[in-house]
Amino acid sequence: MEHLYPLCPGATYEGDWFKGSIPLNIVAGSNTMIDSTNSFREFHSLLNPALVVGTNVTLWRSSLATETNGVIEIGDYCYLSNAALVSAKRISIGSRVFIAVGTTIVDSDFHPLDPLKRMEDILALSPTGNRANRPVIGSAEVIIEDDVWIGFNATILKGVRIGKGAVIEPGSVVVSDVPAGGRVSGNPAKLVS
Amino acid sequence: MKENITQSVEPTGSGGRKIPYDWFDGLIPSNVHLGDNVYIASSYEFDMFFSDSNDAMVLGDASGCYDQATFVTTGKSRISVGRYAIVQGTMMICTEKITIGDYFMSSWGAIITDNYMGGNLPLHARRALLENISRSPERQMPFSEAAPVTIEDNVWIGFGALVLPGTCIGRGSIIGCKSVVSGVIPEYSVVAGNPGKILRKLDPSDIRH
Repeated sequence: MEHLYPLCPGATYEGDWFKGSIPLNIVAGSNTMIDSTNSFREFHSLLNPALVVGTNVTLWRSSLATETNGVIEIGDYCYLSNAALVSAKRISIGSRVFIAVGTTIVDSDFHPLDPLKRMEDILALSPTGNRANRPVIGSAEVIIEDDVWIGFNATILKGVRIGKGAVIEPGSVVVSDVPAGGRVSGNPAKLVS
Repeated sequence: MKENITQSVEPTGSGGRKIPYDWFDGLIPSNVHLGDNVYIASSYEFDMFFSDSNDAMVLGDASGCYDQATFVTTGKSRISVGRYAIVQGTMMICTEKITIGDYFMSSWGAIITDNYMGGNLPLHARRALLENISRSPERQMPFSEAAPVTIEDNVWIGFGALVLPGTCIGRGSIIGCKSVVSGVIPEYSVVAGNPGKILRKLDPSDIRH
């Protein structure tokens, strides 16, 4: 068993506790490492590539979940520790971004807000339903620029752009854009400096 | 009686110990000292455990670590947990010292950390941390300066709560779900919110026992 394995399309790893494989529709740069194929348990994107990861990245106990049209992009020298990324559209992360333990990043609400459409969605998702009949659900890209630092247990919701070098304080819930170099805290996250 | 109590954990040649029927192919490191009747769900809890201190971790008698509780350590860091602790699905990130008393309880998604991991550093220093990590085979986290955490006896940490570097939590206190706490929390406080505020005080009924 290894502590970490090189991320390559289609790979399976001797000693991986989760008996899965890395999807074929990904691109990964050199010296990018991952702890387990478990990260792709909910990777359902049909696009190619649906995940683009740069060089020198570390992915530890993170979840890279995509719906059929979801895309995740991660730059160089990023470190994701126990983060959950769930994409229905596009989550784009720049280079040298650190994501601390317990963070969730989503680019959709994944279900309609309207009560009637929500009922239709639940019926389509039920064991007797047809997923093709799901109503259209709002999604909006999440863009995290270079050198952003995201603290423990933070939550980043859909449509947010976090500017270059910004810091998201631990426990923040980010629902609106963060300017480059800004520091936000709280729920909803507000600029503190 | 739970399985995986220390009596059934066999030492291996490398000094680490293998938990019988463990779903994860790892070891409990040899510098983790277990009291009597300690329960550890899986060696997965130690896959980011890199402290080489002789007493990197102490778990008191009849304590249990359940449901992917995880202990991230480095350098000479030390985690000490008292007797009868219930550590459930909690991440402890220790780069210097985390000290926890008896009758501790913590829940899923809680994080107790003595390290801010570069969040308080200027941009160029954060960049250097990440670039250095990519050159090491272990890929430890981007640790920066530490501030030890102390938690006294009979403290209850709710799910998703965050205990930040330098925090001291007094005896008998409760940290509510999803709270973010720092600084000194006096004994018998109920704290909630982000940032955590003291909502009320509890009767010190446990002192009579």
